[in-house]
Amino acid sequence: MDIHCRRAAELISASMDRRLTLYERTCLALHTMICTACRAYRRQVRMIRRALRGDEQQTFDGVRSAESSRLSSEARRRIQSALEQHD
Amino acid sequence: MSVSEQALEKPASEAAGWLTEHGDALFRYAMARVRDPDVAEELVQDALVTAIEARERFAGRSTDRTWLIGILRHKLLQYFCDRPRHGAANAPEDFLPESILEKEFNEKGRWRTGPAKWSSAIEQDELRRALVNCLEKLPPRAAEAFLLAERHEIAPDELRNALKVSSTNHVYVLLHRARTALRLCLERTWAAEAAKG
Repeated sequence: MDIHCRRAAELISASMDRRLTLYERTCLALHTMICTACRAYRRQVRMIRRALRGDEQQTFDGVRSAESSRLSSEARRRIQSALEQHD
Repeated sequence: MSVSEQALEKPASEAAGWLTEHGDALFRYAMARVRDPDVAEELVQDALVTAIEARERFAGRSTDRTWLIGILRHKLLQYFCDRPRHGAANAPEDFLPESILEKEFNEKGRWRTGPAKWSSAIEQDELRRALVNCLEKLPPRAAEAFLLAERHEIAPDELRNALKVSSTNHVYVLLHRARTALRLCLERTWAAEAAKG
């Protein structure tokens, strides 16, 4: 039941994406009890998730990159007519 | 009333409204990743057509913009994940190499430096700005996959199809590598800022 940090980090990450098995949960719990670094890892990945999910300002939804590219009016017309066919 | 609720009430030409309102943002987002206006335009069109077909299933969980960007991210992933050899599956290595973990762990499986306890005083906005930078340093397909999972809450099973990997396990492997790479990048960002004073 003794796991090293590399495995523990893997399980911490997996626990965010799926339900761990009882065995996995037990190994992980025993490890994090004695390992500050892995507890810190867990805290960090949770903070990352919270930052992404709670992003009301839509920081991650577009505005990034200083690029000011815009759809040309021809592109707009082409897309518009494609949409009309589907709408 | 939220933007999405308004959208649900408008029937016919809401797609035209999406194009007017979010077209440039979608285009910019695609451009930042594919750097080809023709491809970017096509991806935006694909995303909007898919949005028309999927709008009944859109229960107004997020804003229109977030929802549309999520669809665009799917299209980007498809674009990045299409392989020249038809039908061949992708492997986690095609997104992020395992060597990312070697940076963090020694041969005994112990942390080399080890994650620090991040202060709860870190502002959400500050964290997000740093995250945007760190996401840009990931290979684009890895970044899009991670955002679909973490921001848009796309389930691993569904991601497996979008990523064209052969098992859901590969999705977990990939997400773990992405998380680890991001947390390392963020920690270096804080360290660099602390050094500047």
